[in-house]
Amino acid sequence: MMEGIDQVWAGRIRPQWTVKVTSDDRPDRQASLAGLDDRGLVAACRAGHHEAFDVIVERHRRAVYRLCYRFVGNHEDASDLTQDVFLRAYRALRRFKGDSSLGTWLYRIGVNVSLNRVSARTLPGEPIEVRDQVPDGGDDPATALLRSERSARVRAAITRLPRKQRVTLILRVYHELPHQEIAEIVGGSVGAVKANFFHALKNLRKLLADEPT
Amino acid sequence: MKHLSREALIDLLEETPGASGRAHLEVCRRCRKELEALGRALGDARAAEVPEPSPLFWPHLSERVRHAVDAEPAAGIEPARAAWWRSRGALSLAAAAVVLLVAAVVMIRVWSGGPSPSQAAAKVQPAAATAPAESHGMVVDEPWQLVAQAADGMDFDAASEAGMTVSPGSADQAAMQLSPAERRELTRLLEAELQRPVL
Repeated sequence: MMEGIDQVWAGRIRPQWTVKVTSDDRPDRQASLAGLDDRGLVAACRAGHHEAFDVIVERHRRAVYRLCYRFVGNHEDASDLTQDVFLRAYRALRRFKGDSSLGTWLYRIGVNVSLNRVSARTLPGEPIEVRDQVPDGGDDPATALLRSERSARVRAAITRLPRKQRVTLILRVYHELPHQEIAEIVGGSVGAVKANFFHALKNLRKLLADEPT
Repeated sequence: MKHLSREALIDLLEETPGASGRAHLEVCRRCRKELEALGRALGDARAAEVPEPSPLFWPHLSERVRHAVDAEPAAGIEPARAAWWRSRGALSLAAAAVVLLVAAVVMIRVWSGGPSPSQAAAKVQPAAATAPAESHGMVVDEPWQLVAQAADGMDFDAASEAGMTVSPGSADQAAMQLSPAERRELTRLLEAELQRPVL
């Protein structure tokens, strides 16, 4: 090999090898961006730092997934929708003005994406998914199973609520968004959001009472 | 008796500071029952947990998003421009055209008797030390041949990774420096090159 190098160096033979120098410093850069707040991450992303978007995904993926799950009621669809939410967010990042928080903006995209998905389906047939429920370690198996079934019934009942009531209940109860932010997402006044919440809870109670136990 | 509004009941349910109607609740059984029913529904809703996916799911999800995002134009760049730069085919074609153009200019200058860089240097050296080799009617010395061989084996990716980039407008600049006869010869060479079968 050394002889070959000498010959190339002396110009007697043509080099026959390819040298490629690559580096994967993405995790390092990602770690250095982790200290930024959401606004800083958006700015970094717009400046061409792809790793900043990785941090955004890591920070918000759980909340977005849970939001989507509330709408579709199963892991596979929730997973696909979560990916879709982030992809749409990435495409629209230049248009994000920062009037609301990044989380609220992602929720808005999530609500739209999820509603579009469930609109394309027949809601009453929504499956009650119990199989992937992770039992709480503190409960005995029978209690854990009962709790899982109860949770699944409530989730299924929520999917049967009218659209605005469903969105309001999900954002208020599970994501604890202020009424004002929910009003911005669904469109309308704070008073209308409270009225929707009221009707959502009343209808949920009725749906659960009507169910055979 | 005027009963509590839906908004007032929600404020009481959520214990919003400054919520009015507590005094009314003391005396109105119907509103009290309504509020209790709302409380039970809220309790049921809160108890309905989303199943926690496997811990391995989160990095997998991030990876999926990353792959999808990597296939997109950059967030801060206009889509059309980004798409053009992502078109490696177009970039390679442009680079190949420039390389061909520069090579043609050098060849024309050699044929027309102009000095190649190595020949110019050879003028100040003893003739015996720099005896050029003859090949296809072209005067080619050894260092020049080595450069030509190295360039022959180098593809665009390798050149790009080595830091050799084509500056915008360099092809135009080279073409502007050609005489009419050289341009005719360049056209002929390019046409001949285009007619060669692709291996």
